[in-house]
Amino acid sequence: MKLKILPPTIREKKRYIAFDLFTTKNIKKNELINLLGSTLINLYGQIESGHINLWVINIKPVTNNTRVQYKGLIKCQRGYEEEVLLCLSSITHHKSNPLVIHTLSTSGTIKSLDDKYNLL
Amino acid sequence: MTIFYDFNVTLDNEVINLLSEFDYSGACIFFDVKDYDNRINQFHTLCENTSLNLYNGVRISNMNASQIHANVQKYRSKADFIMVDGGDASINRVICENPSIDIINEPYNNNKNSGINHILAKLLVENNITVNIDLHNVLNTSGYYRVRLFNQINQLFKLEDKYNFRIIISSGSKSFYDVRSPDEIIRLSQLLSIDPDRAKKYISTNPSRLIENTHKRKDSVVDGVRIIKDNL
Repeated sequence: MKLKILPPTIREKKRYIAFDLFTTKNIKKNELINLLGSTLINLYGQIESGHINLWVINIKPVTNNTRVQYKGLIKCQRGYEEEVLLCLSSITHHKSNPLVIHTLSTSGTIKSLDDKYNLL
Repeated sequence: MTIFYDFNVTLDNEVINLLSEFDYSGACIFFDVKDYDNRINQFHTLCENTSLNLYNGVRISNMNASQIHANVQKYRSKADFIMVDGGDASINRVICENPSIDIINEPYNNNKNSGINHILAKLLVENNITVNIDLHNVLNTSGYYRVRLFNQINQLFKLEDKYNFRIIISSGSKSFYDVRSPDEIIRLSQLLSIDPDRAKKYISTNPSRLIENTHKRKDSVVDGVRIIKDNL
């Protein structure tokens, strides 16, 4: 039996963050999830990371002649946006390939970010 | 509108373009002592093709006291800024005692502590020398080494609170992937437990003063005498 969805007032409040990712080699969504997870735990520890509740919604490749580029969307708990933004900025490489994430915007809904940056 | 500067970036078109995309007002490119004469022409070409206010500087690293003095004398009139890499206690002392040096880079390198004590802190103020914190090195260390670095930098901040010497934060960008926007640098400063206003000062007010000092130095005839340009 599927549980009935929680009423909006007691649901966890979320924030969505749009970002641009630049690197030299292709990266899969699972690899990005692992990278973000390990960086977050290294920075904030397991207890704080549990509260942040970070999740990658989507990453989408973008045509770029000079390097590999993705646009992405991640979800976190409301009130922990600063921690997530800091975590994203502190990433410098993935498997010895240079990688940088520039955050674009933060919003309360996926739709508003998608309208602005075409992320999905 | 706040004016932001990124000191200590490399001579690279992509880096400079990205910096101007991120609304930086200026940047300073530091060359190694051996490269300065060969690469300064490339710097002037780059200056013509960008809207950023670019400055050039000489970075002196891994040298003993006499070599530092010789190179500072050689490049003082040529370069806008002179930055010397910090080292052990004796090197830091030599740097802090020399008013011709503008920036001491990472005095905590090869030290167990910040590399600056109360005496050197007073010398930094007296000789108008700025301390540079390179974010590239902070971001590229991990685990225990990063924790130690945080500790050393925090000691530096405590001394700054008391003695009021100047600190700047630079991205230390060597490639496109190292460049961070002013907002990101302010955010990354939280790693060093400093509040955003203070971080803003380190990438805006303090670099501006450094640039102001360089202009004053260029206009000075002898110590204490300076040409004041009248725009009337």
